[in-house]
Amino acid sequence: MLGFVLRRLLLLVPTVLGVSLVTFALVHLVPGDPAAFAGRDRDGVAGDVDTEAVARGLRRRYLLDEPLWRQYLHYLGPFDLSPRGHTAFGGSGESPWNGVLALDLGTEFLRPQVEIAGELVRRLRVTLPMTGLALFLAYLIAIPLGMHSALRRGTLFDRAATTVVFALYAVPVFWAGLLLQQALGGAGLGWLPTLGLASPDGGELTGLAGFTDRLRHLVLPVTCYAYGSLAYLSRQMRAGMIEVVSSDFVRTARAKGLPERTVVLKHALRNSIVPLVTLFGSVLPALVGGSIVVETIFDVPGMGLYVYESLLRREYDAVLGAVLMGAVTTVAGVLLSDVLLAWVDPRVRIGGRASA
Amino acid sequence: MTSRTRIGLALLLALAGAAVFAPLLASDLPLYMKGANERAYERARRTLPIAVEEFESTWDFAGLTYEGFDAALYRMEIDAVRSRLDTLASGLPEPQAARLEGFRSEFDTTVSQHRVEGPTLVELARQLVLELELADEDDENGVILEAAASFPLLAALRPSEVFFAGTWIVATVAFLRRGVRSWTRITRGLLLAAALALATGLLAGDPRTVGLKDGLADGSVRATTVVFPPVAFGYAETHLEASLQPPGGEHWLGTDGLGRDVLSRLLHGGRLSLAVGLLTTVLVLGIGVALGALAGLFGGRVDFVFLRVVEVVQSFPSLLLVLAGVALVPAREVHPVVTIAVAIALVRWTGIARLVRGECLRLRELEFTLAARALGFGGFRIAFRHLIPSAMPPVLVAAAFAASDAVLTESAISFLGLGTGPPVPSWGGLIAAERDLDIWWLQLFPGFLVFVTVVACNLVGEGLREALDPRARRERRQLHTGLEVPA
Repeated sequence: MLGFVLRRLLLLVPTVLGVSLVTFALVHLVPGDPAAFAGRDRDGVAGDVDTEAVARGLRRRYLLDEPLWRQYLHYLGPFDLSPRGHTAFGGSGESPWNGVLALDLGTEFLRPQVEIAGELVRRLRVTLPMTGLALFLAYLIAIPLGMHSALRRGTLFDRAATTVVFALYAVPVFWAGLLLQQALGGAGLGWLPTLGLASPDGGELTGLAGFTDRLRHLVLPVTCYAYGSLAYLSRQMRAGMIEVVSSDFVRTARAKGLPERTVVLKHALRNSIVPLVTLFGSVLPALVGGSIVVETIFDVPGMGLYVYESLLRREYDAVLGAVLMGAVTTVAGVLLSDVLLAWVDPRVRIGGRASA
Repeated sequence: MTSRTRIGLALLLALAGAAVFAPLLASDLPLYMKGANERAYERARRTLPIAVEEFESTWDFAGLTYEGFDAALYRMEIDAVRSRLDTLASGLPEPQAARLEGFRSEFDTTVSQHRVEGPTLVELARQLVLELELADEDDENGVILEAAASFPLLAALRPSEVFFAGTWIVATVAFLRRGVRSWTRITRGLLLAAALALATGLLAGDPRTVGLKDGLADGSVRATTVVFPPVAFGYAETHLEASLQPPGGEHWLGTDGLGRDVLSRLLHGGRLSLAVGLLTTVLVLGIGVALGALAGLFGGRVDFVFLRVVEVVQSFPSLLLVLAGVALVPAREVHPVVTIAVAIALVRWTGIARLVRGECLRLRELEFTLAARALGFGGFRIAFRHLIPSAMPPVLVAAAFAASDAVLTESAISFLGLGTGPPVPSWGGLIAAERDLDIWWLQLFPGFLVFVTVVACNLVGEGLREALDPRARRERRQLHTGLEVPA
């Protein structure tokens, strides 16, 4: 088991290298660089400074004029290749180490005071509660829903539930978000706030009032995050349950006269829940990465929005940092799936053959 | 074919039909018009001498072999003159028609023989133009145009549009007849579509269609009969005085901020959404089958590298990668539909590739492969004639879901503002154009169409999966009869 985990962790290295290389190439090949945005406000209007001079300084400092491979090595580390970098590479030795291998994700180009690693953590604090809550709700509803559907197969309830789930599966997220905003927001029933995390004057609200305010802001984005996974999970649950219910050991359980409740909850549920548990690993990246679309619609300053805005502003290092974090989570998620599977299902043995 | 697949396919065909026939369903040009287009006539009349002069300026040297002679320009100028003559000829009464024909034959002789006798062509053209002046209040002696029949909309069709329309009809006939009975007929149908497409190519670029609707409104085009398509608005036709109208009334689904008809824009925008879906599916299938088969058939190191590459691709936040890819290619150089389709395909091929790889690994061990090998068939033949075809059924299921995923992804990209730009955006872009929550009709309808498209693709996929899965089939029978059916 330990060997298996170690082996898989080792395979993480080529994956993360590959991801960083592709992302690096991609974001650097997109026309324009962050220096072009220097000294300008959000709308691209130049301030009082000489933008050209600022841009030149930035390009020199961050090696933006150098060949891409040098920039990549600089980013990857552990040596700093800039003029202020390691003496072995012609630098002044002021800051010899840099890059991912030196555990440094760098700072933003245009706001050098912002550490990317710190910013990622800040964004995670926004995204994670939302996606976590959404996923929790999705599991909470999907498991009983799928179970009921499977046990009452062919009934009106099953057909209705299956149809609704099937439809939910096809609803574009941005559409759902806009319609929810319209129906429940100020333009419609006016029940819920549609933008941001808290009311502008929310800082003054304390205790219960502040909590409800934040909760009310969460409802719509969390719904948007949840319904897709809900549809997927309940479909899986229903399919798994149907398979288990028609298997021999359930028939045996029924034949020996166990109450239906015990058959379903003890025999069938435990077995049909296995695939859902392992699915948890594959949703981990979405949990961490958030969603560009949802966060754009509801103006939530989370991971998704950060990555997207960084891409638009050509903040190379910010995009790279976020993508690398996502990649590590993905691989970790797959590993977690395998380990979870072995844990909940003793029949599964891992480590013997590489189960890729 | 299960009923779900048929419903899904029917929906898809309907959507594709709306997209394919969009130019005939929604346009600012009439399908049929009987009338006198004085507007186009006047424009052609005024510019004829100029066109002839331009032609002569290239022609002067054509007989000689002079270095700067531009053959393409020369032909263009000839076309310019001819199209004006055609415009003037339609609805022209005798005796002026005869005069026009006289000039036309003079022009043709000049072109074929590179020379002219007597007065030059420009002088002739100036004379002709004076004689062809229209009658008005001051001048009773001028020309009064006769009403002539024309099909402006058909003349404005592009060859590719005609070809796709033909293909759609062939596909629909095959669907209604529940499968392909004869491939010869399908081929013939497609050939016919291609021939029609070439024929429209000859009609294309009729100058009489420019500004026709404005002309009808201000009276410079006098028509006795006009038949507009069901939605009589072009997708880029603005009516600022009628902006942001809610659905109902003249504009069935309302208008946007510039007073453009929403229904017309939906019909035309769907062409882009569906084109991306179709192209992406084809690309995903191509990449996935090729790489998956390579890994599954060769195994070993090839397989190891394949799995690492798959892992890398799957470790990306895919939407972000697509966004970066789309931003990479300027829309001027490559059509955004192509860029978006390629970007999505490059991220989403892994599912099908892994499926094909798994199938190949499984099938490779089965008896029929052994039999093929025993018959002495080579590796290529076994791979292409036996293994890959046998791996196809589950791949088709995956392709249906890949299509729905492509449509969803494209709509999200366009929603974020990186999709297909003007003159008409795809469905996602139509939603993004207006974020004001009060103007619900601009958001409801495009999203609904994306939803229907995705539902249709999923229905096809579900149906295919059910049809291919023996266990599901058994269950169905069980449900109907209440009896156990042995496996």
